[in-house]
Amino acid sequence: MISGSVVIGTSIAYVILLFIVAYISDLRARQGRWKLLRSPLIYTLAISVYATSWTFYGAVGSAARNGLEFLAIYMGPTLVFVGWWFGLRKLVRIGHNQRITSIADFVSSRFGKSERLAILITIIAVIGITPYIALQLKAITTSLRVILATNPNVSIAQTGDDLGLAFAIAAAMALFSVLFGTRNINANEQHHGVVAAIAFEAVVKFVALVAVGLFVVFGIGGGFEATFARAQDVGISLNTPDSFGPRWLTITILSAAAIICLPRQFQTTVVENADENHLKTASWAFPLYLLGMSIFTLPIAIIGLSVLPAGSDPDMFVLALPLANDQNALALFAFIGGFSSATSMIIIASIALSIMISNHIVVPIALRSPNLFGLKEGQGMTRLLLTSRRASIAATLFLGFVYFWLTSGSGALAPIGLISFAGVAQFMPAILAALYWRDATANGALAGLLTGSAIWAYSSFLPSFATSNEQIAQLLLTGPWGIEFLRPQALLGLDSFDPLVQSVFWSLLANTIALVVVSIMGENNAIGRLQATLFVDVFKQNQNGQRGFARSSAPLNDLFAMTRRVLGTERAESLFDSFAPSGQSRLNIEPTPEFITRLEKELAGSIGAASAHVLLGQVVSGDTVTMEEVMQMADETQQILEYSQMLEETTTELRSTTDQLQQANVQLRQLDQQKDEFLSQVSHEVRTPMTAIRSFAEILLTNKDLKPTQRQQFVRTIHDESMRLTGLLEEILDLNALERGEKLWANEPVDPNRALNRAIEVCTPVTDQHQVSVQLGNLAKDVRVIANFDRICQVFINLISNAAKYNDAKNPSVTISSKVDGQHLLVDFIDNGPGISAADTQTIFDKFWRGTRNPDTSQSGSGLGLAISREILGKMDGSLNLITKKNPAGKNEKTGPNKSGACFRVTLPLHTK
Amino acid sequence: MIGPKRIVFLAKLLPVIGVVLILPPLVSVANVDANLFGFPAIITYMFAVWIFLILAAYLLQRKLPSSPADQSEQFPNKSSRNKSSGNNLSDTNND
Repeated sequence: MISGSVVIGTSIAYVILLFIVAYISDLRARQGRWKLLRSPLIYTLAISVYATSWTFYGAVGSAARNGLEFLAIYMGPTLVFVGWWFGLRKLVRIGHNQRITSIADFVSSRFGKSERLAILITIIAVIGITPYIALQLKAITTSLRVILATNPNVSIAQTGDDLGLAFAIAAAMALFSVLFGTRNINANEQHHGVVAAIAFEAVVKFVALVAVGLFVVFGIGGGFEATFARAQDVGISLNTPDSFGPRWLTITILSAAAIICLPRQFQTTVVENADENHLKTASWAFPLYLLGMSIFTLPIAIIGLSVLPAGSDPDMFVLALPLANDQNALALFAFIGGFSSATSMIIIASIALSIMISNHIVVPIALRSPNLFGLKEGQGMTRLLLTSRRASIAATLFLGFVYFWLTSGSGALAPIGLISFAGVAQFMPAILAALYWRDATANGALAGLLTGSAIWAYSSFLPSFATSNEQIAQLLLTGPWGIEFLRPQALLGLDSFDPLVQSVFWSLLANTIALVVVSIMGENNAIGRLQATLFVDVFKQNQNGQRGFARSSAPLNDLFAMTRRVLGTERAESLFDSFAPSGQSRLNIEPTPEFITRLEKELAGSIGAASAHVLLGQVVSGDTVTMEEVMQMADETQQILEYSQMLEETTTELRSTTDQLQQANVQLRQLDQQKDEFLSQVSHEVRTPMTAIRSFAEILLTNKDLKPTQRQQFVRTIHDESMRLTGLLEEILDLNALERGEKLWANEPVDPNRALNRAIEVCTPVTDQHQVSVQLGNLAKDVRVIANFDRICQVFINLISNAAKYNDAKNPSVTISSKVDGQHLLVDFIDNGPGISAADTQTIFDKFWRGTRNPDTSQSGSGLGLAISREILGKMDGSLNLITKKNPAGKNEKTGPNKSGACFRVTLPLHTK
Repeated sequence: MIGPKRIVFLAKLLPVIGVVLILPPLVSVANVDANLFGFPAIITYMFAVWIFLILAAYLLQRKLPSSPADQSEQFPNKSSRNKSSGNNLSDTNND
């Protein structure tokens, strides 16, 4: 015996507990502590809202009446979830990419953001779910009745009749759903508080059912085997040949469709999904949960039938068995378990439906006539959304109550639920087409849904009122206007089949045929094609989501005002700020197509894709996109365009790389050639003296009777040639050392003029030989440079001898002048020779470069002189440059295009005292 | 070791196996009046199939490639004000 106040008190305490769970979760979410809230566990438990009081109470009833049939309700979802890779993964990915808010949003979004489709689905969903909500109300009411009936002190008069009770329950549920489902407009309709509460309820109902099951099997039945042994006696036939007939197949298909199409399942599985990888856990954990919920179903049914008095409602065995055995605490726990399975369904279902109603019915109407809804004054939209959602929740629950009222007296729980399943299963063809069939069109989906749901309403929904309505009962018997052919539960006169099987078969068949035929006859419009590609090929897109297809002539202020209206000031500001370039005002954003698209998606997260599209279409200067523009972006054309663009970019890049490579190659070749030339010259240079040395040495060895003078002469030649060889090798070694970065000397203050005189002196033999006159121009007096005397002489000698050796003028001369420029001394060596051709100015300082004009190889140097000089000067923080005509540094003796001569400038750092 | 392509194939095959197992004619084989491990044969069969599907799904999901990190949460909620960085992460094609 449990008193009414205890039951009511416990229920209220439980609801308060739910409030606390939801509140704490919302608080954690607001503080950014997501870890637990977004765990795969919570996600799986939230999906377990599938197990409603139908599972908790109804499954036992179903098992008592129809044996194994109840299992089919779980087989469908199990198959869908273990096959998640195939379907659910795609659904969830699209849900994320497109910011899907509901199943109506999903379908309408896929079919060109069609408003009509969204409205139709919303209406079907509301009608289809109504029996389901009524089922929950009935379960709570009946369970309350059962538990109170044990108390002789409580009469019907004190608790009111069933209707009053159901109404009170519906009102309380509406209150809870409103409080937690519609407190704010979320980014993508995720309700963390509610989800946490639902997950909590999933645990409660599971534990409660398992507790009752354990008590029944081991407390009453004496173990599983003993329990099943009773099955035959109580009339549960597990082995009828019909067990796995058409009805089994139908219910399996229905439940597989329902796990996706039920608005609350779509809400928990797709919309509330935080991470696609959570599906991995859910793929096995959710079927496991269902398995756990079903283990005790048959045993409870068997024991209930054998222990309880005949005529007891099998739907209430879960509650009645503990009560009959005076297990009051367990009975109360079972009641709370059933209560929680009912409340979780009602809450999520009403929230999901309210989102659909407000986004797809209320908002579009409000947008058409903004004045009516006070939308002109800026803040109206948020309030409108909230109000319409609250009203929708209340309306949904009220509808459920009305259905409960109209069908009161109709029997078991499971058949009511199956009516809902058959209703929402009408979405399945459209969803499958949305995911896998590119050519499915909005009109096709519309036609399919209309046909299918009409047949469902006529053959499944309508007959459920037969118990309370004479006319409908009559209709079932005789058909409309007495035409038996059209009897709702025996269409085309086929009355040998189960009514459910018939209804599902005809409605889904007609639905699919209409979808296919109308789709084939028509064609998708541009947006439809774009969306089709985005949905069907969701795994083939490189980029997340869709491209812009709204032209960006929208005044930003308008966009901002509009966004603020929908999302509220705070969120609108942070959204716009996130787009603004850093450090700039949010009103400096360029309204690019990308931005508009992103904005549309964010808005779609609050009010649905179709509404967001219309809304933006209004603001974007009424400038709907032209056909060509959309086409360019839509479809494969877009992808091909992008691809070719990418290719072009890559090609350009490749081309420039190739050019660079070619240049480098040319340089390398030149260098290689120089090296070859140098090597051949070196070999030549080395071979000539070596040949001389060898032949003279041989003469000396073989001819003993040489005259001493001759011998003397030969030996001198050998010596001279050896000296030349050594000199050459030394130069190479010198350059190597310089290039390796070795500094073989110390820099000190040096008189440049003394070094110059010394160099001229050294060069006298060469200048005399070539009859070159060395003239001294203006020389800077009394200066010191930081240098090494010997090395600076070496540079000067090199320059003077070069000027002499390569000068083919009639009166060859070299003029040397110097001057102070800032912290540097500039020494110019100007000759009147042929000059350096433009082609050679690049390479003149390269190693191995040799003047090619002078064929007199005996006068050629090693090709290292200038390179060594430059290295030396580099080590002194100076430089050696070739001064071109345009940068005149001194006067050229001769003029003329080809006779400009060459001017080398040595720059040396001055020594400052 | 089974390659990733095989795993994906198995993941797609699993629901098909499930369908075949729970529909006639296969299910009729077990639908006889006999006991199996102390339970009616059909009960044992149905729950065995169920457990097999769950186990297979569990083993498969551990081998299946993970989806790329989710990008849809970039826009800050009312609560967390992390700046959005645009949707330029690319999805990989796991198919």
